[in-house]
Amino acid sequence: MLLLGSVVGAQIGVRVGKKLKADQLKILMAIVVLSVMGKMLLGLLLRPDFLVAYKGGH
Amino acid sequence: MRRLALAAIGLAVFAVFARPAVSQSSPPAGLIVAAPEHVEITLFYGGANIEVAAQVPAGYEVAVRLMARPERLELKRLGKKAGVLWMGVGDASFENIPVVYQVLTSAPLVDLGPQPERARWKLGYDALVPDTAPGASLRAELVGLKEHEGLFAVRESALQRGNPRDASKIPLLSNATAGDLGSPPASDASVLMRGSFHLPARVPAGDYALDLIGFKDHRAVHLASAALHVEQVGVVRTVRELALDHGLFYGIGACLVAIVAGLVTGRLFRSKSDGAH
Repeated sequence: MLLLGSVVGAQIGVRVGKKLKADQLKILMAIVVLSVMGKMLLGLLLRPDFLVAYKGGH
Repeated sequence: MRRLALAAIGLAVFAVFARPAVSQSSPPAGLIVAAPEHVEITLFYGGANIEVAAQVPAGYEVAVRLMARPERLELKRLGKKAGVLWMGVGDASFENIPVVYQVLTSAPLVDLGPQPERARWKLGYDALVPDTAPGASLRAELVGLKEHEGLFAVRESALQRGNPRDASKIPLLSNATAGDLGSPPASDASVLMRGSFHLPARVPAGDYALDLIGFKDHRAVHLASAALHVEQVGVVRTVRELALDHGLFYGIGACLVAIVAGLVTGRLFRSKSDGAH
């Protein structure tokens, strides 16, 4: 599923990318990176729902 | 010699009088059936509802327990580091924790019977992780995590009483009574109980045990049991077997899927862009 989604998504990304200017793409990239960073930061700062978790990245 | 003879007579008298007493106190009969008894995990499996029907001797409060594969569970304990960051701060080990644990009762758990009796049949989270067990201080956290996943549930008073005459209207229950599950109690001396379990999407495959436990006069007795089989089928099973047992074929298959998906998508998008220009 991941594989199929990424293959199709890449093609859609190429088509959308062609219609955007370089600066717009940079802003879009920055928003994506900052969003991921924000989520990771919140995950570290906010108290988790449960004080136990599965080992191995869960 | 005389002492030996006296002992032999004593044993014989005990055996004669003990036998009828045992037969008179034979455990009451109950019956439990689940529908479906066989759950198939397919590509589009998103969980399943298991309907449970039970015939219970009159006067009993009951609990139905669904449980599978008690095993050692290793989790990581989360805590604060440097005063602000929530991270893993150690390990938490639990013994005999089932993969799935769900309980339905006909009355609040505390009203069923005394705690030792409930603990004997592992009814309630305090029985699952006793105060003396390793990881007991993190019992609430473990239960919260498992309940969040839908694997654990204790639903008190969730069993609904029905008319015993309705038992014949439940196909599985009437089939089971006619089958090899044994004779059910007489309908005029029994009560029909119904409820349902929900198995979440991430339920593991395997054999699950359904147990019907009755409570009367502060004593618990095992009334009946049934089995539930959860199995992966079709593509899910094939992919799992390939991934676990035939890594090379799994890798080749994944590459083929990627290549075919890339070719198909490339052709689709190319034809669309060709048409647009």
